[in-house]
Amino acid sequence: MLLEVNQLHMRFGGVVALHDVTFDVKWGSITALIGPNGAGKTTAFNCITGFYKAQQGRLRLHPPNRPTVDLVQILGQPFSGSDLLHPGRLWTALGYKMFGGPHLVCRAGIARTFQNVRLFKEMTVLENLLVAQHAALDRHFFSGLFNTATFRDHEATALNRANDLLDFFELSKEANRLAGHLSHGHQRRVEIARAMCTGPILLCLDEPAAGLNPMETQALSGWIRRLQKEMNLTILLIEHDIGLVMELSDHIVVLNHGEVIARGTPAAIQQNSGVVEAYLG
Amino acid sequence: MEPSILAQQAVNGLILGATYGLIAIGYTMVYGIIGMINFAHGEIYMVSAYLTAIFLAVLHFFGITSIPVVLIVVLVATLCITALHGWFVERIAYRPLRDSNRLAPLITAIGLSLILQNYVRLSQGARSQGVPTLLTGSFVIPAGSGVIQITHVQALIIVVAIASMAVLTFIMHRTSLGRACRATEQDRVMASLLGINTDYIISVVFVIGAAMAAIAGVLVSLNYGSFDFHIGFITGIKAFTAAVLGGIGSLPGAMLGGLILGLSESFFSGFVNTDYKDVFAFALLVLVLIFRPSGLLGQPLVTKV
Repeated sequence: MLLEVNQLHMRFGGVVALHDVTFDVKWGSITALIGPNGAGKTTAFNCITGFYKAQQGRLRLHPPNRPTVDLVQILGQPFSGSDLLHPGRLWTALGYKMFGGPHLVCRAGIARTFQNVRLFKEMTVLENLLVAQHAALDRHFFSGLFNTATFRDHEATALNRANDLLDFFELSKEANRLAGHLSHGHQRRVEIARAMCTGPILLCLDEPAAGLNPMETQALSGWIRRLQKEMNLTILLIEHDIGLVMELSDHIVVLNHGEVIARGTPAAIQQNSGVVEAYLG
Repeated sequence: MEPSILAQQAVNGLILGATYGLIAIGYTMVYGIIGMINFAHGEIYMVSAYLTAIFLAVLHFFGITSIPVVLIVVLVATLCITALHGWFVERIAYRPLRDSNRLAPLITAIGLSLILQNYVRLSQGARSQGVPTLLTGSFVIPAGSGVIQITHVQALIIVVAIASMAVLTFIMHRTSLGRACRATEQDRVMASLLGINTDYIISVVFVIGAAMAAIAGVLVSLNYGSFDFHIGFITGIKAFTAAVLGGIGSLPGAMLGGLILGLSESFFSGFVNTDYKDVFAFALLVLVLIFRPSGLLGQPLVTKV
């Protein structure tokens, strides 16, 4: 198990967006999150990737060969009374309060894309990919200023990695164009490539096929498969294209009105009467 | 009109403009990254003027008189301590209010500017202070029937302003830190989701802005020799005007705005009237904003979706 989502709750004012959501993402799998509009899929995504602070519940990432990361704690939580009794816990909480944030979720190994593509439009495609590697670079003020050997080394590595990914997504020709000037299909690919640049273990794709034509969707499905197989990636995706979901995923979680109504293999989900009634129709 | 007087006014204007430009960088960078005006920035400049005097006195006390050594030590030491003030302003007035409405940090920044003013007044006294003249020589260039005189301090101002502008441009466009700054400027949330510690980047921007103001503070103190705890206000407003004139959010814009403002002030006070030079400067701002609301080099505001 790579990601553990346990009894996640989220409410906005009076609206309960997520209620007692529990599911797991297995290491190396492609897991799909489906459900009607407003079911809370994107909210769940936002909690997992650190975009929102989960109000209740547990989110843990269990990366292989590395210690478990508590995805709620690293965003910086309000202090609780019991912290005062445990100086160690108080110290940790204070540390995350001061230096925590969504960037730690990314550094823990979770990368995401957005339903409406969010590239840095005024930077070139290559720069977008380099920005995503910031955490792995020599980013010290003076090493950049004096162009030290370590700095050049890191930059060269980053550039190689970016170029490899551009090759992989067949975007090499667009490398020096401004990201905002690309077509929608290309922008989607750049966004996935950029997410890959952060060196994730878990890649979260929010409706990657939205706005793509059938041919582009087919190609995308191929790329997602290859990411999983060739780069040992675990993928969590939200998608409305049921054909794509059934074709790709190993495991499906169905949400409706902020609650999980079914989990299982694609075949089992297709047979599930509750899901058919609520969503598949 | 006498060409030498014209040229002399142009030189004076360039020097004034270079210092406005250096201070304007702080406004424009902070606006670029968090979309707010740092109203304590003028006070940061004022603090650096006092620090210059303090470090000069300290060096004099230890008997260090070699002028290049004094200049470099004073510049570096003032820069570091002033940068610390910039960091402090962000930490106290802006970060705790990062997610509140836009007016709240504005008020805390004004409050902090009053605090800085009064802390300087209490610790250094309300009277006008001065620094001794360090560099006395000047370059004399014959022009027409007269001469243009550029003191060594003025030459230093031009050289240092150009050099720091070049270094800053290099950092923003050629280093990973600058890339992260630009990314944070465009989409802060996305930048943090890509592993960039945006709080740190915002602090860095405040520190860089303060460092630029410190450079201006050291140079202007060496040039004019006297200052009091009020200078931050009017210079801050002028630099802010320069930033808006050039297009707030744009680095070359800040420098261009500063130069235009400095030149127009200098020409106006030289040939028309000294008392109304500020009126002319602000009238120029009004005119530019009527015809180019986003400033000379600024990009039109695009609504973020």
